[in-house]
Amino acid sequence: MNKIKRVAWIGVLLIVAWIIVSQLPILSIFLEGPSFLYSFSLTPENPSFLHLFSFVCLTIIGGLSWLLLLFFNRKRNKKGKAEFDERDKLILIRSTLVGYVALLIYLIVAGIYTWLSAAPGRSVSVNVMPITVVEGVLVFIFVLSLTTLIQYGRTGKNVEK
Amino acid sequence: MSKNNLTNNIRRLRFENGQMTQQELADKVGVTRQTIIATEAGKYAPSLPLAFKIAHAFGVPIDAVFQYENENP
Repeated sequence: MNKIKRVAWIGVLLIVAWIIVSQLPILSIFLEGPSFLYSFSLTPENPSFLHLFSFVCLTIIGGLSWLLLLFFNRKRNKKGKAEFDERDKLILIRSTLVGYVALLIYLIVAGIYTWLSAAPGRSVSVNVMPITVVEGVLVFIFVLSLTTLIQYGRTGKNVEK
Repeated sequence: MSKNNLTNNIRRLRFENGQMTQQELADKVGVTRQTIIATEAGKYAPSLPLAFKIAHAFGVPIDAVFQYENENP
């Protein structure tokens, strides 16, 4: 497994982990009675704590990802072996393009949704802009990582013939 | 819609050149083993420079390694 594929796996796993962890407070809304998780939920008394909690989770997991990279880099290839070639470059370019398209679609949808929410007589929270940007970055990284893995397919598992 | 196929004899040439492994060929031409696997299986069309490098690694002309078949010329 080369470096790009490793980073792509890390990207997918981290974002899935972030989605699970950051959405726990929403699930907690359905729990009966006050609980530890319920205290983080989106309530009228605490409207922005969910966003803060999501951001903290993202920061922690994003910071830990560097440790994972260090762990994977401990295994070094033998000298003279190429780690990155023209095929990797092509895959990366295609994935980046797909990621940008996904980001554009997300921003358009988020923009329309926000615009509809801000209809006459309503207002938009100040949290919307930074959250939209952070989520946009996550969408980009997730789609880029997933597209990279799909393009690599199972060729890396082929045995010597 | 025309269907273009790029076939190759890399596998046969490897065995004719002293049972050369995919990794040995990859090291010779400066790519990863996965690229050789994908090229050999016809899943990846290499660039012209890489195609020439592969041909040089076997000491044969490029058309002895790669063949282009156009079903609807």
